Amino acid sequence: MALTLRSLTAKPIVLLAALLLVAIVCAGLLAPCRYDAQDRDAISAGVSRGHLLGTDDLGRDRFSRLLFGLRTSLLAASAAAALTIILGAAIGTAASLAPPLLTGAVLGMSDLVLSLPWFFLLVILRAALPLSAPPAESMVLTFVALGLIGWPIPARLVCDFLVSQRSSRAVRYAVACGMDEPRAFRSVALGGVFSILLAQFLVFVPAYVVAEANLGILGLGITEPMPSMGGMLRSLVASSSRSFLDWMPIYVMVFLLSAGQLGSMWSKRWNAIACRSFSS
Amino acid sequence: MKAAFDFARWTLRSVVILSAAILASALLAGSSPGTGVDERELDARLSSGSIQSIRADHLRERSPLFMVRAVLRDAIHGSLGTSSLYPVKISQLLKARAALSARYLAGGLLLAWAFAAALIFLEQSISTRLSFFPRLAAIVLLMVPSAALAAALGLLTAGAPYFCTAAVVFARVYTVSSEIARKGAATRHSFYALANGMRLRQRLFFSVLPEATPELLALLGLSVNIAIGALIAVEAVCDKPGLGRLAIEAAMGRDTRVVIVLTAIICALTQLANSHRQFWIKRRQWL
Repeated sequence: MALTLRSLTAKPIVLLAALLLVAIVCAGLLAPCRYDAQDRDAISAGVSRGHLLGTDDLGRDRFSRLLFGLRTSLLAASAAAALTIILGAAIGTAASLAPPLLTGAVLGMSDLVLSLPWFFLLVILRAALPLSAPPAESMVLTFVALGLIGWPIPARLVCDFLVSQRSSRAVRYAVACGMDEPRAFRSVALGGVFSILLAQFLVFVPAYVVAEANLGILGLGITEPMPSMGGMLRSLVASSSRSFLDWMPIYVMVFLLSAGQLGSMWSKRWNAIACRSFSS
Repeated sequence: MKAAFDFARWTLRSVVILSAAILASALLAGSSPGTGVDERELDARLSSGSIQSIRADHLRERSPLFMVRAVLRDAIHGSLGTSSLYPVKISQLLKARAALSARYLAGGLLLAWAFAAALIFLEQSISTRLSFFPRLAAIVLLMVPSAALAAALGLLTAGAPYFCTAAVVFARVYTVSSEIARKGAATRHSFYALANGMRLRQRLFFSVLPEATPELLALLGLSVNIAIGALIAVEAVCDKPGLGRLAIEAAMGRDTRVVIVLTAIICALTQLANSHRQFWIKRRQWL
């Protein structure tokens, strides 16, 4: 834990992103108003003490909506990514244990999903579901659609890994040492599968947040008044006048989603500079 | 003989995937709420028998097999049927839009690959430290929704669809190809060539590039897939009458036939774009 904290403080970008993440999760405590509360005296108002990021064209506080929107998008994207991972792991494991004909059928099905552009498939699937559903229902539909189409990649990875582990050196060694084969396979394979799935989960969460934002901008995302990244960015396309504040969700989203990678890039860069200056 | 067998196998596999994609899209489009709703049912002059007959017709048309058969029958006659959203033949609808989308697709891909190749060339022939800012840009671009990027670029330039598609493809292509080039440059024979007096630029063309060609070809096929996905959002936001915008309008307007035809076209295009890598990699393995 101490090491983690130290590494966090060593990377200011990651620390800032972590603080922002805590603020988003605690949106209900930190937001000055409810996300759907309308101030009719302050429509499209600028930045003030009462409204830190101003208000939108319905008089709703942008700051509160941003916090709640990020919370909705991040939590729902995490749930969708978990759904994808569970589906992928289950299908991949079943395919690796099934007879070759069935494995071929499963891999063929994944080929079918992967043969279409991901966003095209998402648009077709989302549009096939009810479009004018209540906000909570539309959120579930959007993220379930997202969660359902991502399974082929983790399924293929898990299937390939499990098949390759069947006759791996580690399993053979464990069997030679007296462990029975299924147990040896389970203990060797499970650790590997877990790390594959964790990496995939971390890839899918930002991908789903971005996908929801794309769907929302096109009018296929979460319905109003529930705030989400896509819903908030829709004003960029819908209204002709765009201010600096309209783009705020993009800045925060990009910063939050790329903070980890930016932090590690930055620290590598500074380490390299420090090494060079030290050696000279 | 082996090449002919490989080609036949690939063709069969592509036909099966294409048929399954068409059937799945017909199933999805046919089962979506609002499909088959006919405003004639509100006409008070129609008897209950007539309304039942209209409903029965729509019910029959919603069957995926019926839809696929009808589309195939019309395809043989060269018209692909009539769109329910626009009162024109689908072939006319596609002809007017395909050229524009093809231009955006080719332009975006060309821009992205040219820019990525130029940056990698500079990195490999001058210094790998030059990769810092392009890598930073690629990370940021990966996290920007393509629709928001299109909205931003649409304010600045009329060529927004080209630039936006290029930016989306560049973020993926640069990250992967830069890594491939770096891996290729770190191989033992590459160091050996440098030690024997080969220049950095020569090493890139005679050692790194030939080694990385199969991977780059696979990436090229994948980038077509990425560009098509990006074009859907970009055309819709930039209000350009291409196939991407048609896909969204057809999906939202429950135009089943257009959805099926577009799925078939896009699936065939991505299969074709990814076909070369199989033959290439197999040929290299055989050699």
